[in-house]
Amino acid sequence: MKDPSKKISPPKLADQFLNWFCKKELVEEIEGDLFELYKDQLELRGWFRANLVYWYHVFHFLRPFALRGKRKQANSIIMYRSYLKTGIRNLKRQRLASFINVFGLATTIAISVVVYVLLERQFTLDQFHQEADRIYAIQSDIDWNGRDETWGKTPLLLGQVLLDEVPQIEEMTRVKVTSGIVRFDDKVFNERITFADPEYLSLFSFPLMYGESSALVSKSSVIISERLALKYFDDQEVVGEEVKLIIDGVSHLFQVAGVAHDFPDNASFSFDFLVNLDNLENIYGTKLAQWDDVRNESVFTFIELDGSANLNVLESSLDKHKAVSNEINQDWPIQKFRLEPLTSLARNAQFISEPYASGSTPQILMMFAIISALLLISACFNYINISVSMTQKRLNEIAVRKVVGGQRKQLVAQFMTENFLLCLIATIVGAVIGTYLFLPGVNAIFSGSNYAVNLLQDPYIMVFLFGLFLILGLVSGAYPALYISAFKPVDILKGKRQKAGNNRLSRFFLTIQFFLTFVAIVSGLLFTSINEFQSEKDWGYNQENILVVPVDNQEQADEMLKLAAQSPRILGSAGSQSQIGLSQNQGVVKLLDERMTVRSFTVGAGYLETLGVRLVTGRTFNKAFSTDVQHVIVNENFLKKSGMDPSAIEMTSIELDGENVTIIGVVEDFRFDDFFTPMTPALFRLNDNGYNYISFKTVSGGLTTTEQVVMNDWANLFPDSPYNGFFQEEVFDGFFESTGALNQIMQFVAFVAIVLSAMGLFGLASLMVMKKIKEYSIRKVLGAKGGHIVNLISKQFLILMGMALVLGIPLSYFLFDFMFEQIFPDSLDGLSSVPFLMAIILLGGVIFLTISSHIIQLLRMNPVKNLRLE
Amino acid sequence: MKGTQLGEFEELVLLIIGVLYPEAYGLNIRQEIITQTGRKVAIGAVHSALSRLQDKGFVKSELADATHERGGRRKRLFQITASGKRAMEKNHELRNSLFNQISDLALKGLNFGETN
Repeated sequence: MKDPSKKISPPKLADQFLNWFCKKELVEEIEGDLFELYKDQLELRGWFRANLVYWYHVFHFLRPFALRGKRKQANSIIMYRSYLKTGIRNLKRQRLASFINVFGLATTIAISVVVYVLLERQFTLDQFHQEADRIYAIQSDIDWNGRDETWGKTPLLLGQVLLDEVPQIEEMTRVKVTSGIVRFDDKVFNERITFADPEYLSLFSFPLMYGESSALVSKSSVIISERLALKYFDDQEVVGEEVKLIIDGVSHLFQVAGVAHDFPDNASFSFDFLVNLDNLENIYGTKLAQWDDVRNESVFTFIELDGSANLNVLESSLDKHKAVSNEINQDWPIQKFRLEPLTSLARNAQFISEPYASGSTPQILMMFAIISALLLISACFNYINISVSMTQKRLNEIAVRKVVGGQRKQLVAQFMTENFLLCLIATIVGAVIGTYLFLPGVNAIFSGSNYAVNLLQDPYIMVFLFGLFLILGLVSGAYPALYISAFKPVDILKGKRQKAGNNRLSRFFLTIQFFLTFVAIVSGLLFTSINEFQSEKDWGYNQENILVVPVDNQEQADEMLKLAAQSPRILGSAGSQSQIGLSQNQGVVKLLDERMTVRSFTVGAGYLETLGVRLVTGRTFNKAFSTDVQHVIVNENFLKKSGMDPSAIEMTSIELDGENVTIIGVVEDFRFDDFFTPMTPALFRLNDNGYNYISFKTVSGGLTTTEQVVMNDWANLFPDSPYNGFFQEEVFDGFFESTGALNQIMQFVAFVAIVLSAMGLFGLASLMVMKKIKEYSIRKVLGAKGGHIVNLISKQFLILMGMALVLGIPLSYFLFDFMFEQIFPDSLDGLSSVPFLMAIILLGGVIFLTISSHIIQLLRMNPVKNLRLE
Repeated sequence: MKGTQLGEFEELVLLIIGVLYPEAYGLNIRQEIITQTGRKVAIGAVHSALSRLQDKGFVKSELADATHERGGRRKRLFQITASGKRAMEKNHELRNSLFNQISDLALKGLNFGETN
């Protein structure tokens, strides 16, 4: 089992930490034990968990017996008790400041908890499969018209051949996912159908609730998910029931042989309707024993290796199989077969075309991590600001402590104790808010997600929080403690302490905070404008008032078109094989010596008119011309990319997928992808047979009533098929939903940033006013006007805000301009200035509102009272 | 002084050192505790108990040879001393004698003539 090529190295930092605090004579045996433990964990649960466990145990050695240094005397323990007591008293005395500190830190800690849970999910995806670290998915690296692409699929036969040939492969399963209609009694729905070798259930750890996983060997058995069982039978124990699977109009009978347990939250793939792979032969006519076109007959292939397998050797031995496949498919030759570990499959899913695992986008998560770190820093600044200014009130205490013999070390210890106490409260409060308030919030925003963490039982979150607590305590406490303890007692008592300098750092921090807040507000506003931008943007065709009904066969198509002709509400109708925004083919156009990939939409006559695609030159398809099947209509982007002359485009002949076709018209660019994807060349072809979709153009506002009519007719005509109609404008709903979720999060972040900086400002302002209260009082006594005092106070903060803006406006402009160019490649217009202006107004408003309470207080007070006190 | 008393967890560790003799060291003691009692203990807790037992003179220890298994670090093997054995026996006897003094009634409760 041992693999000498793999070097086992526990986290170095943890080792150094251990060496630092632990007694010399104990280190060796402890490290040895931890090392062994680490090795076990590494084999059992992967490096991420193993590292966490290692840290957890290192922290567990923070016990008196192992700690280095002289035995602590009882005296210092008593002193700590005194520090704690003073600390608690101080927190209580300065309620407002303590509240601001705790609240600010706790909110940001809560956000960190959420980010941690999101990241942890990302790193534990699919790790619940017991053999996860020995399972690999075979990927095909393809030469996609000169560009390298990785495909998640392999030729169908590869898996079987490998299993016979490579002894290190313990198990293998091939998977193909299609869709079909499942019917039980009068329940008819479209479902995801998974075809797989019977080893699927032993390779992956999807335990069954009822039934035997071995039943998958039988071709007529089906294993269904719990969700499906409830949907069709309202029950989970349904083994033995018979369901119909209808594909291409032919129905096949399957017997339920098992019901799977609800899938874990960190499963990046699962199944609903799982049947034996051999069924591909009788359902789709797939020839299971032939090497076939990688594009049309390809499957996901997973293998489980025994411990002795060498990946590099295995990968290179795969090379000999690509030739057979490439002979059949010369257009996109396979360069290499690659093994992707199951543990990283979901994370890399974004780089793979058609991956089996659905991964999320780590970039967005990284962005959240950065944001939460910035917010944490912001909260720390608040804390540092407030505690430094607060010492103003405690100068005498510090001086007296020093005069009666307190050492600087002890003063540092005292302030650090207070500081850690506050951080501890904040950490606990933050953990609770994060778990019970923010996580459910995240689940509500991302529909279908189920993030949760058990604070008291999950050791990893405890280590994380403890680490966060330590870092926060040190970062936020070190400066105030060192700064305060360095005061000279004589100077303080003489009242000679220099005033200059002590606010410079606070001002700097506040400026940085304003800057961060400004950026957060701008990003929140900009993301909000994305949705508006999308809906106002011209889609290049008419999305509104279009009802689309997918059909399975000619009969359904005919009936639907007949219905359209009868209904007065329907202005036009057309059939098509492809549907804009939903489905299309890839084609390759040969230009001179270059090849260009195009999206090819196969449509019936009248489709362009129904969908309102706008013609620039030439003509659209006409049923009357029989030669139109040899003709294509291209989009403007096609002309741009191919470099053809727009004026002489008509009747130009091009070679499409080896066939000569003639261009008869050009249409404006229309959106078949969302705005995140750049426009690509596309063309329409005519085919009036084999419609997959019927599109209806209805009178304005008649969409819902028309759908009702169509739905009723459908139910009467085709009880065996589900009605799957949708509105064309819904096609990108999923996309809007995801940007909407992002939106809400950015707005929330902006809100937290505003609140944090407002709190920091409020705390600082109240202390600044307090410090200068005598000055203001004297000014008032001497006849200063209210406006003068307002000026005095707000001026200093407005200067800070001005500096933040000077820094923030250009920086955030370039940042977001760059980001938006990446996100929306086709939009030429730059960022609008509106969000920036709004952010300036908002920030200024918040600053003014925050200090206005102090100003009002100052204006109302009786100056004599303040001066008389002494 | 409570110095010579044997705590509950200490006693458990001491017993397990005996069970594992002569191969008892930190990690396998922890493993044994987990498998035998189902308790979850951190390795730090075991080392802490071992250090206390050694301070009280109930166990003695020596460093074994370095092995590749542990990244070249030596392990410390523990062994029960005579006084450790006495302390264990004392505890065991005390427990047994107290248990034997419990009347049947207290253990079974009143069963009103039913036999079970």
